[in-house]
Amino acid sequence: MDSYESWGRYPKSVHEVYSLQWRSDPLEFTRFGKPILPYGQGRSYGDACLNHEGILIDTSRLNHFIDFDQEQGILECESGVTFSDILEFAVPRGWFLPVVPGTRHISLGGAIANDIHGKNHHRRGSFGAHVISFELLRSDQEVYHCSAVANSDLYRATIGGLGLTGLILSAKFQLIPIESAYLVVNRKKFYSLEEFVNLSLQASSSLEHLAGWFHFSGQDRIRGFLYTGEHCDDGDIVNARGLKRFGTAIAPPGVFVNKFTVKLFNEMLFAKQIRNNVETRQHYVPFLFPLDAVANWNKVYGKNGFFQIQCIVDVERSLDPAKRLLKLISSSDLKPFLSVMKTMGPSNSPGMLSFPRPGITFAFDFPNSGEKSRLLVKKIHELLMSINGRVYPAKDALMPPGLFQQQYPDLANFIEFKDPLFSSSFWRRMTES
Amino acid sequence: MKNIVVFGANSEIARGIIRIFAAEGSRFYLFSRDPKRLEIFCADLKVRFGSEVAYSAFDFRDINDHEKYINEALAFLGSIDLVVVAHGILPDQKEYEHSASRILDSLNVNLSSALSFLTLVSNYMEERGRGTIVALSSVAGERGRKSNYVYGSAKAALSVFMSGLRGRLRKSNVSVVTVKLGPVKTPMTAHLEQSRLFAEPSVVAKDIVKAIRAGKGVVYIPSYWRVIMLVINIIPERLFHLLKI
Repeated sequence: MDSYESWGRYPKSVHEVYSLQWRSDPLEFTRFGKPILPYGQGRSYGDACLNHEGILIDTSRLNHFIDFDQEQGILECESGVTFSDILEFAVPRGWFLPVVPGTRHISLGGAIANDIHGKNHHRRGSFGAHVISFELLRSDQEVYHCSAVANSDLYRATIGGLGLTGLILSAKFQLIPIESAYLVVNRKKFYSLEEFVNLSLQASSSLEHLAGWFHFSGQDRIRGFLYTGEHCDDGDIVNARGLKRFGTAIAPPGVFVNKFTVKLFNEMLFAKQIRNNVETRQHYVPFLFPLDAVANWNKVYGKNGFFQIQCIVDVERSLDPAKRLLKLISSSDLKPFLSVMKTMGPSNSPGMLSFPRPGITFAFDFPNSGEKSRLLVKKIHELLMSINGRVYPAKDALMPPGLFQQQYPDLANFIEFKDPLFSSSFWRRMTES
Repeated sequence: MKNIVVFGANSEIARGIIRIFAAEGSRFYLFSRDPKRLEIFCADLKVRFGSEVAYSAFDFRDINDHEKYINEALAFLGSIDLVVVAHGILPDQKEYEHSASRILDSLNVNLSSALSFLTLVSNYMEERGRGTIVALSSVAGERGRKSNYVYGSAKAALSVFMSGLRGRLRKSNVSVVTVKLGPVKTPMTAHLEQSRLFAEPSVVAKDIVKAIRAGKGVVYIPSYWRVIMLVINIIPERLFHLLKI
């Protein structure tokens, strides 16, 4: 066993790890004799960042900045640089990442490989749409400069390509201008899916960030808050040192998550925030990355880990498919610890295997309590197959290959650009069964 | 610290030290063997901190060139306030111990080149009447272990040399800091079995900067090595070699 695991801590796997210290160092992929996968910060939940019995190339030392255009907001850095590093650098200079996920502890390479999205998808699309170019080292020992015009097929395959097209050494991407490190945030209560969709529609035309947190309050009933955020224009750009006050707690690892604590936790959250429609001013860290406040929150589920499922359900014609999904989960006695949802915008990603597309995206965390939770996940996947729902590989450990093939129609095209020496546990699960 | 010269600037610990001073607006002249790595690191310093920095890459075994390179650094910086000697290799004991030429070669890298740099910069600083000289030595230089005495002997001599230098420069207002490092998680030690005693390079770099600011003479980093070495140093020689260390 080594410490290279995925965020969901399932499945367990063993690797041989090679840490690349400098992007100029020679790296002969052919000498490994085993399938290869780049590994950044290990924040994928399932097995997309794992390569059981293969090689992981740890890119965390590739943490150098290369160039920054202050006028245009274009930053170039190595693929192991984290979003946390980038924000610490960019915010005091009046720039912000165009797209961030729910944690800032991801690598730039991972952001491209999973074509991550965030609470502003309705406005900015996915991260891949803001990537201008990158350098890709493949097992033929060539470094490919990829952009929308140069090696454009490799560019499209690598964005959302799950690290399977080669090793991203560095990338150049566009930032967005901000005038404050703070956001005006608001939360509005909703008591049904319809209400959530209506509130989202109203907010999405004018606000940068929006996402809903909810829980199941009874048979077929949900309730929650829609959180919205818009960057302030008060000129309060806190310097990097200001970030230090957002400390991280360490959660006690163990089996604290059960049916009762889940209910208690969600009821408490709802009760605590019982006031509706309250506008406050909040720093971007607690608003965008609330879970980063607990460094190892993935360990509260104990050593068996947990499953996260994230999917997108098409709601253009009717909300019924989404309702069927919620009904399936609410009728199970396994309740998700965290449930979030968000209305997605149009797809603007160049990526062939990019996940985001229009619809509502749902994400659920279930503790891994053996057969019972697998069975529920299996039922969810079966339902998604029939309602044309797409699962996010970065958060998947159990999707059946048929669902992946059905939902990623560009797969056949992608395979042409996959590096022959690269593979992952996820890839083998999707293609070799 | 305003103007800083670093030998072995690509080492992970040196980079940690440099980044801390870079955030305060220090200027740098960096030396190392690999020009590509230096270029990557210098670009990072320029982007992140807007640092004024230049570098030269050369093989430190070319001792005849040392004076020329130090003059280059001096020409770029104007004056030198802090010198950090951080370079070194960890020879594989088993591979080296039966080869006199390999042992001498490792001493050229770890010791001779360091003594040459230290002599040149100490002359400069003595004349100037101020400055700080830091060398990264090791707890491995305190006792000769069968598993690591090729490396250890270079560090032993380095520590003694630094001690003498400190005595010589005491009246010249030049601070001479010997950093005795315990094992650190760096590429140099990546092939070794890592125990809990291996320290994080970023933490080590912070402690070194603290010692520099405090004007310490000899400092153990992490600090618990002072206690560990106190115990190890009183073990009688005959008993010492019965230990599996």
